[in-house]
Amino acid sequence: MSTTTVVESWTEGPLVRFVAQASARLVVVMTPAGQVLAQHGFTRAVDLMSASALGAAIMASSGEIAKQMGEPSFGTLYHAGKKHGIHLAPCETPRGRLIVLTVFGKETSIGLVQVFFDEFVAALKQAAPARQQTGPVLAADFERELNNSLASLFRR
Amino acid sequence: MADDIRALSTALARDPSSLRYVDLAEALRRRGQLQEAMQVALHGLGRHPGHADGYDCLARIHSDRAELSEARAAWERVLAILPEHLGALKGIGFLYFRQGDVRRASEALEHALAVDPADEATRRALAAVRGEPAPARRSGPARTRAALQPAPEPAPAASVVTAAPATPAAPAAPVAAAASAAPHAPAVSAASAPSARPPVFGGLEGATTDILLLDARGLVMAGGLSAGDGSDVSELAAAALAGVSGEAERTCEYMALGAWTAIVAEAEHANVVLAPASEGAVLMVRRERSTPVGLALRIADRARGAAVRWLQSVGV
Amino acid sequence: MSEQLMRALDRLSRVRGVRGSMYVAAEDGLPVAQLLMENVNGKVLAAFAASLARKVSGAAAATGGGRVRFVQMLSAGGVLLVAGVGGELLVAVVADPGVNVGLARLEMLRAAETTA
Repeated sequence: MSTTTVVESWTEGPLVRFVAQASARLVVVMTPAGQVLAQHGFTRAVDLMSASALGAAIMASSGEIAKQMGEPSFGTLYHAGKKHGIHLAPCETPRGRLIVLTVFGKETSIGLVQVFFDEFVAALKQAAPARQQTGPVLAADFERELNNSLASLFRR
Repeated sequence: MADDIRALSTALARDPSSLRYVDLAEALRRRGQLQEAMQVALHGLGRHPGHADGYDCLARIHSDRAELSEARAAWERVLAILPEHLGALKGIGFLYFRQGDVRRASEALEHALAVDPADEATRRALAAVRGEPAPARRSGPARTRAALQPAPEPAPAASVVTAAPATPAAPAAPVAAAASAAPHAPAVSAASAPSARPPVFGGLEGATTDILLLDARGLVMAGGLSAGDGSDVSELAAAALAGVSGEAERTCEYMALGAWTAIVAEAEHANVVLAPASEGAVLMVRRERSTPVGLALRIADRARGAAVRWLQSVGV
Repeated sequence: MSEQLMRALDRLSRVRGVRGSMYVAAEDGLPVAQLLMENVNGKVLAAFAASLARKVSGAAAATGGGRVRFVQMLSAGGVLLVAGVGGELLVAVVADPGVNVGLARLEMLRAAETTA
């Protein structure tokens, strides 16, 4: 019963295509702060929140390690599990920096996921609107935005 | 509307919380009304979120709609609820097989067989997945002479044969039930017995045991494939071969190689040649290892010609 | 070890018509060693060669053919060849349509044995 749902409509076309081509089981497109813009495969809000929070945290941690090593940043992270693999990578779009977490199974491969991820990023760049002007983030706004995102993603 | 669907709809309207939504969804699925089947299944699962049979039905609907990721997710849900659900084990075995994951397909089918050792269809499917040797052949020279004999005149247009009802023992059957709705498919049954299939490859050796014509959805159109014990494994093979054809197209597109014209796999017991026959249809020819690849390609070309003529004659 | 792989790829690249050759990690579809002409995308070749080999293996098992050793895909614009199917490392070659497949195949099977 997994579906693709988006908060920002410009992500939908590229995401649907990426999921089909890469045979991805789960995908989250989020901001570096963990705010979800689009997802595929999640059926429960709590799972999506965990995944996005953890994904953003992993990218932030690896960014810190990169800084300490004198690298500008690390690119893709790939973890191979027994049944699944995860691919976590940033991408720059006119909308700003985004992070994409992809979970895939043995029916595909990291090689294919990488090939189609490159296409996905190109499609996102093309589809993205110009960067929005953002004011300072207040805790109350953040909570409301998060709840609105989840409501939109799970059609409540 | 068919009587059974009418009766089930009435029963469900009287008692919306009834579990008979599964029967209704399954009846709609077998009639090819996949959208309606999906709605009924989802509605029922909304009321019964822990109902394994409901997810099993949903998985079959997704499979018919070629939504394989969703089908797998639903079958995995079934197995999370009931680890020994036979339908889900066979369904997921079929999906793994279709995706080329022979090891996981075997594991799932072995598990299914452990649950029901008397299930002959699962036993045969498992044997095919594990790879039976090619059937016994006559000696080389005679075989080669027979293979080079000209193909006969095109077979007459196949008459319409209604699809055989899907059985619980055949994971490929849910896909077969929607054959009449498949694009580019001639009006022949995907679930028909080998002897009932149109004699497209008469005159070529192995016309019903080593030459198979399938459509883009992995459904058998003509010919046949036999396992080592003589049993027909056409449907299982067709499902796997369609995956290869799709992958070949994708590979050629991304590598800018143009349209693919043939794939040859040199395997332990046989050489297998795949070739596109017409839009969406794919031909497979299997020959013993001793047949040179060049000759196998020529035989495949002949069979392809016969397939194309037949498809034109049935208006595809 | 990597010198050995590159020597094998070098021999392969000398077969007329070969545009690119590489060793590919079969399960991951990632390049391990490669020798490619300019317009050959190694990432794409590795990913698709591995994926095609996997699908063909599954299909060959279904047809009773047994374990696959070598795959050739012929197309209008070129040829894709994969050897070492079933092992951890594949040898993948992309070549012009007129390549001597027999010769390339021999070199590829030899290259596959390098890692066996």
